[in-house]
Amino acid sequence: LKGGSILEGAGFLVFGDNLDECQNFCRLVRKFSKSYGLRDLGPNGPTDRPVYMFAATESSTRDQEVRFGLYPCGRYEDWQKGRRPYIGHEDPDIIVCRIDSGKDVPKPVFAAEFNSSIPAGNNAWQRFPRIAQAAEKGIPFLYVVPVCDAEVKDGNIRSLRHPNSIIQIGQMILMEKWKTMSLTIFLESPWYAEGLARGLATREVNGKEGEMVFAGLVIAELLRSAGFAGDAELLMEKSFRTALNEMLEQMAAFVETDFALLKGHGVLDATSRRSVIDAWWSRIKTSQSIPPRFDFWDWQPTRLLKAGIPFGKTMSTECKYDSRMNPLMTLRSKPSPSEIREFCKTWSIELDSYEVRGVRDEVLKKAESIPLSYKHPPNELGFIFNTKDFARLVNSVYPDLPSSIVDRISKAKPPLLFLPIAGYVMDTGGPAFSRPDKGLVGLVTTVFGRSPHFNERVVLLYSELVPEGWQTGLHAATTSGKDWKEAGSNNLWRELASLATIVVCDVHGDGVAL
Amino acid sequence: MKLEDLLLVQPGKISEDHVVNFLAMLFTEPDWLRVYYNPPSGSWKAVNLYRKGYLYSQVGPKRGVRLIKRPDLAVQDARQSSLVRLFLMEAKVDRSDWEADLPEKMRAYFEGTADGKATGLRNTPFFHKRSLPGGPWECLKETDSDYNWFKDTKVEYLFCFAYTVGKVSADSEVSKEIPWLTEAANGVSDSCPSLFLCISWKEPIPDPRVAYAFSRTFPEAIAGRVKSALASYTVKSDLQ
Repeated sequence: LKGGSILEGAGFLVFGDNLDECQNFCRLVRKFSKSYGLRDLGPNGPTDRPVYMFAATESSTRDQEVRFGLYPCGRYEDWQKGRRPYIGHEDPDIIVCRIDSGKDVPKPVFAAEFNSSIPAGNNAWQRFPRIAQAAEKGIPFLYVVPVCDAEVKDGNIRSLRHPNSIIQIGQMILMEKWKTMSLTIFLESPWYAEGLARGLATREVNGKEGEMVFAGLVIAELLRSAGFAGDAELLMEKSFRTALNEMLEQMAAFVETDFALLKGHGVLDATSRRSVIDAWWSRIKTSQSIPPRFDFWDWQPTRLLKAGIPFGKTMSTECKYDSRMNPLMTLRSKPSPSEIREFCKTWSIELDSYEVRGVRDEVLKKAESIPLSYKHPPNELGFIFNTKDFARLVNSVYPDLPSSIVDRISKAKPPLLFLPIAGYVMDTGGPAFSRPDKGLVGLVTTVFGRSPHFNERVVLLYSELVPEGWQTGLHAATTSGKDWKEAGSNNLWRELASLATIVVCDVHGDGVAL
Repeated sequence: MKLEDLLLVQPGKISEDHVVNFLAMLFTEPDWLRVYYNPPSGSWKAVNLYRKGYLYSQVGPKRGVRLIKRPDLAVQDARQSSLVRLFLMEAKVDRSDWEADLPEKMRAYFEGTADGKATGLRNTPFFHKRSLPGGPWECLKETDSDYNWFKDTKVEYLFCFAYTVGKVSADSEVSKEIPWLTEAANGVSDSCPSLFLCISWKEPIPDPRVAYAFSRTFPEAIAGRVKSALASYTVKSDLQ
């Protein structure tokens, strides 16, 4: 050891998916330490796993220098259960813990998730439950993602994409609810110039300052945890404002494609930007309520009817839902006369006053009759106002469904939230619960699930791989205190148990009310 | 708390992650430049190569079942500019995971397979480059002279197989591995210059200890550099 026992202060353990991510995290703090007034004392200890050491002086008490060290601990699974941190049923890429002695159980003070690429389509939200569970535990969380990315296979560019801003919408809601920081940090990307040229990136958010903002937020948290109240707060506020401003820029830029329901909402109005940031900072700092004009998560039925867009799901899984239900849930952009007739019949729309040809727009104006969604198709979930006809449709496709469930759907106070997901997919070694779907359920729970206006939330599982007796696992997930894994449960069931009031299974034609 | 106390907080087990992390911390700048890193639970696709003051970035091919092997770590020799010298490394917990065709499979990640069933990285052009350090990203076009430079340049491959005997209380526990290391090194083909490395961590503070052997064709100059990088961890000097 260089210099003997020179660390007298705060010790932080950095756990993660692997040692490289833990080391990178420590190196990032080191890279920007000088910018934020820290003295870099260098790594100390074994070469392969040193303690990264820093010193700081509180500006109000200049004579007192305090030191702290970051120790990369590596992957969670290498640690015994009682010696590693947990912030929920999923492990994020990084958890930073404070310890005061070697015997302490590590106490999480901060967590982060890094995406080196932007997940495609349905994968965009697969990590969301990690973000949500950290907020619930009051642990500050940073979600790090490149500002633009491409999917490349064998040297060919398959698609160029921007990060889906529904994640940032979810984080805004989490911050409001749990009064805990949850931010996205956008990083620089080689694909930025191409993204900018194709409207998939903006001039305002280029990711160039991303690493520095990330380091600012991390260092502020470390300083706060080490007892530097004043300096930490100033740094935290400055970095928070920068990060949230970029989140709001992205949300506003992609509202049309990612979340059209919020188009024109005051929270995304550029002239209100400063007030919005003030409101969220005050929320996490002093628990002040968000002004009603910025409340966008209440989802008043009148707003859904006014701004909702006709539901439309695309899928490739062979199942009853795909062949019989989905075609009647959505009206394609150029429907045939017979398709229009069938759609209108299903949703009790009187066509007498319209010419059959070219009536799509008129049909769609009857918003209260047809399933709506939060953005232009393809989309994932539907808002059902016409619950009686929806119940009839469900019953005709799944005749063995208990009548109590059909009745409950029929009598639900509209709007009803409807989420069709595969639920199970074929993975290496056999069927596994789907990570994208698990993430989607967690995201929907955060974004829509807490609204008092969705009394019934129906999830339909359409994968043919959903195992028989699936209800056992689902029930185990709703029961606390039991070993839910041994009872056949998994993280998909855990997410479903938080969201759904009714679950219908396509392949078995059965369902349960929760 | 004291530094010593922090270092005494140790995981219950030593895994492949510790092995590849040791390699990554050892083969580092300024001598070696990181090209590719794929630790446990990591799905890093980015491949970076270095040429004439530029960093070139590409997305690596997926693992081809039984045909190619993504190395756990690949580094580029920073001292070599007339050709690209790549050191491809595989980390395992147990030496029984060594397979004789491992070097060829790692080479195929870059070269592709002879039957064309797997496309190697050299057959795909680079999309982006940036001047070092930290210049702006530039898109490469087909008309750019360096669009296909990696395909056209000479590449030399070196290989490393590393494993661990975990935590040890005495150096002799690592020395015991020397016969196996030597036999394995003598068994590889001349076309696959290889380093075989066993790593352990001496308790209580996890201090790395290594034993190693080079195959016959491993370049002497590079072996000298590796030996000197490993010197402070080597349980027995001059094993060769």
